[in-house]
Amino acid sequence: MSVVNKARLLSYIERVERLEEEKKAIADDIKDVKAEAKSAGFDVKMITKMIALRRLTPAERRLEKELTEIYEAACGLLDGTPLGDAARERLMKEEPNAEPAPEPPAHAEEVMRTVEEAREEGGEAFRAGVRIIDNPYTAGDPRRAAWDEGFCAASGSDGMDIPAAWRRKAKKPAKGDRRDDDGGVSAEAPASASDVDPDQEGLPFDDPQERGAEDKSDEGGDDWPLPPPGEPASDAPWKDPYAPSAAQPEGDAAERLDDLVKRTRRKQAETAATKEAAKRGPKSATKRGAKAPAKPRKSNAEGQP
Amino acid sequence: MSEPARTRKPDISAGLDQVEKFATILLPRDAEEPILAPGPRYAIYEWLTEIRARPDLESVGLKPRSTALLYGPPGTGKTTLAHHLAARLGLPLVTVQADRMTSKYMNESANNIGQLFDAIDKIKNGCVLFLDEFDSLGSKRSSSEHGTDKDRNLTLTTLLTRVEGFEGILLAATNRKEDLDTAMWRRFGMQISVDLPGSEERYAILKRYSLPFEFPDDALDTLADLTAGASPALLRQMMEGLKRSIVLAPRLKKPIDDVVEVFRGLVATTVPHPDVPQPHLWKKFDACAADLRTIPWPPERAPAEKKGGAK
Repeated sequence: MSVVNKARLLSYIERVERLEEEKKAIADDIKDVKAEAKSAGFDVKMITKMIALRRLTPAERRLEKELTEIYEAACGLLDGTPLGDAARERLMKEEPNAEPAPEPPAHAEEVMRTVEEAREEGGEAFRAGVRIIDNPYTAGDPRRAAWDEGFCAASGSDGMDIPAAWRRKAKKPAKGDRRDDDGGVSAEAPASASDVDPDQEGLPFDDPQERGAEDKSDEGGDDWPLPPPGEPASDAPWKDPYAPSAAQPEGDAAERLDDLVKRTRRKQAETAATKEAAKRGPKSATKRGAKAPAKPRKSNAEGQP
Repeated sequence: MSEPARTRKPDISAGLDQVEKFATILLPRDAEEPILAPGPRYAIYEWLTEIRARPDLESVGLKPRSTALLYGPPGTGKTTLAHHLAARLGLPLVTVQADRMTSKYMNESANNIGQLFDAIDKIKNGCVLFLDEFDSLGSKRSSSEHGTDKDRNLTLTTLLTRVEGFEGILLAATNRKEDLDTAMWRRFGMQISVDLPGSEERYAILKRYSLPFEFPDDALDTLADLTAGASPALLRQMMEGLKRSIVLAPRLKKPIDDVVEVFRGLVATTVPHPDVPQPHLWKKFDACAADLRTIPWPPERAPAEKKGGAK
């Protein structure tokens, strides 16, 4: 020990001891402040936690929050509350320590789908026999509306059709409902329910079943002005407003409205011009009438030259 | 990582526990196919389109209508229709029961209405509010000085204010439209008549509730004719009663050989309210006997794979 510089060693020890004393004094001061906060009704544990969080940089705090929530979710400690944005964003990224990814939920791909794709998906869902209420998109998502519209366009209805399994196989002859002998009100009028109640009017939709039947009967026929495949009839009661052929313009609502007004005016002008032409040359117009070509087609159908 | 953590769909049931005190929650997936006449169907479809066209409407200074009153005879499917609308929007239906809103204490009913609407406003992911048997809350005001009448008036005034300021989708249903307060009636953006089903709808209802037994189309046509003027609820009751008779016959030691006698028993125990129009089958049962005898009896059970039928 003779080689040891005693004075220097002691100075170090004394400095550390002084600091230890200061540390103790500061710790006591902190304890006093906490006790004061406690007596004022604050939660000391939470204050300590906040101090720890304030010590972190914003990035470190975010990381802490993400991991806390993810770990809480994994341990079932979120008690039904939704996962925070930070945690959800983190989960989007690859995690090296995560368990093998489970099967993605059915709606996982929907994030990538566009409104138009959702519309097509709705049509496919109808053809696959899915119920209209099983729309996979969430409320308020524009794709939910598009999916529904696609479904309705494919079914040619409002989505509230009576399921095929519960419908009559053949249309019932219009013999009307039974009427009481004394003319009581228990029965409906023979014509239809629409005679009884103004609300009970026909829907502006094609019945897909009936339409199919008509389509078949009209093959080669001349009465039903069927449009070319894939194109809606110009006067069809049900028209998908978003059908690709309708050339729905992009842009905001006001632009779409202006475009609609312009198209309507153009159509009106064309109709007026057609009428004017018909007035000027009634004979030639008659020759080009709708019924004129029916005769030769009918004779062809009967096998006559 | 656990599956719930990966789920990105918002939880549509979040916050609904706050309204369970006043209402029953019906989720979209539980909705049934409505069997409705064209009138209400078209009205609902138009409304759906309107709700979705909010930006277009706002461009001309309009807002989609947010309230509708469904009225019509009892058992015509008003709740089913409301549930279907909510399901189409992807939202839960909060069906408020009048008995849970009203209270024997003064001002308590109005307070409950306030609490309900406040709780609905806090539901982050939205819902469709459905006030069933609405006449019990929204009936006409009285000028009487009686304490109970004053309380009713206060309840109605609160309801008027809250319905007017409501931002979400609200439906109300009543089968006593004439009892509703005039101002209340006017507060609704739409008044939709949900009337008795027509022939096509009756056929579908009879078919639906006859399953798993199979009746030929002609037999269902006959029944649809004989039950003109019946509500969907009555038709369902009748068909379920029919199935019950068949199933319980051996236990009750009650013969079911005669279709007319089976229907006679049904008609006697399933009776429409005397104030509503009586369908022919109930009004002149004996005159219907010949038609009933044309129904093949007893019906056959549908093959197992056809159970449930509807898509």
